[in-house]
Amino acid sequence: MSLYEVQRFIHRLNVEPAFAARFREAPEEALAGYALDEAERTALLAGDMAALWRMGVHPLLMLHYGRARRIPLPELLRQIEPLRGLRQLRSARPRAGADARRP
Amino acid sequence: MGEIVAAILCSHAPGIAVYPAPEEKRQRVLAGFAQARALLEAARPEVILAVSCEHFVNFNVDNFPAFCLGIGAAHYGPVEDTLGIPVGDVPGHPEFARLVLETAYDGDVEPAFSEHLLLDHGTSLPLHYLNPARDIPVVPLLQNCLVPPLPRLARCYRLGQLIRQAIDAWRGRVALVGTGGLSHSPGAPESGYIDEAFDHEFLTLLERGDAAAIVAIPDERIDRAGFGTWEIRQWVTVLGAVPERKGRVLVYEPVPSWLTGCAVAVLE
Repeated sequence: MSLYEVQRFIHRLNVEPAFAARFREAPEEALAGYALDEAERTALLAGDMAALWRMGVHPLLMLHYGRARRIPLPELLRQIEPLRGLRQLRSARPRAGADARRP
Repeated sequence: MGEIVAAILCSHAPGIAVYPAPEEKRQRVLAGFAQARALLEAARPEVILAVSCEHFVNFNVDNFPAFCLGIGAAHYGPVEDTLGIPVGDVPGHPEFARLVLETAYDGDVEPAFSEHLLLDHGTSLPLHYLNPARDIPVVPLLQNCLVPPLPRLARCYRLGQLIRQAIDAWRGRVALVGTGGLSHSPGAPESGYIDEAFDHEFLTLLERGDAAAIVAIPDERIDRAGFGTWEIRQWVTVLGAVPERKGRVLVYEPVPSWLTGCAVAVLE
């Protein structure tokens, strides 16, 4: 499992419009070459925003993914609304032993 | 000696341009930008130093600078094709940018630098409202307000002081624009939650000109207002350049459908 790889993929969707178009047209092909596990691949193929949030995707990358995949913002937010409070986004330095992210 | 002829602070939420909102709220926010634009035009700057933040456009977590200054002859943006804003080259100002960069290094703050920065809504949206003709060269400064660890508020303030030193050593007329915030959590399940109490406290400190109190705001307090609130760093950097000025808030409007507590202010 590689959150980094998921986010690397979404980042590319955001900065390469041609790659985003390819993902919309041939999603499996666009994902080839990324070292993703089955859950990550499934979530990215399905547009499963709740799964992406659970695995720790950065909120801005959630929006970038939604835009690349043409998921309307209200629909994106509807999917993740039940997950309020699941993750704490902190800039404050974490205390020793505390996990900044609760997956 | 150079002169800071305007210092404008504002939100940069893409919603302002594209998402629906109650018409009176939209009009109030746009009127705030129009007031700031009039001030900017009257000030006749030769260059705008625009402080915004990175949003996973130029950088990803494989390489993420705390600060990056655009020193090129041109930048490009906005990268989003959904804002209804013209996309294309934005003129830079390499000479002034180099001076800012060298002055920062002399002062022991070392921003990364780029000959060709990509701009997004963070810079392009406010500048679309403030200088729609795009005829004033722009030096963009991007700060990391996205992936902790973030530059500390005091470090942003220090960089602002060094920007002031660079302008003092220059000969031209400079406008400072700082964009981001206030309370918001875009893309999180908490999207649409706006911590109005935080926003009012922050704007009150700005109006008092209490930079020390702003720099001392605890990270935990900012976190509670939502991760997008980390973007007040841009306001702090600009404040560092004009610590003798006080804020005048042109508009504050919490707009849940824009997912943001939206403000436009000037330091004078």
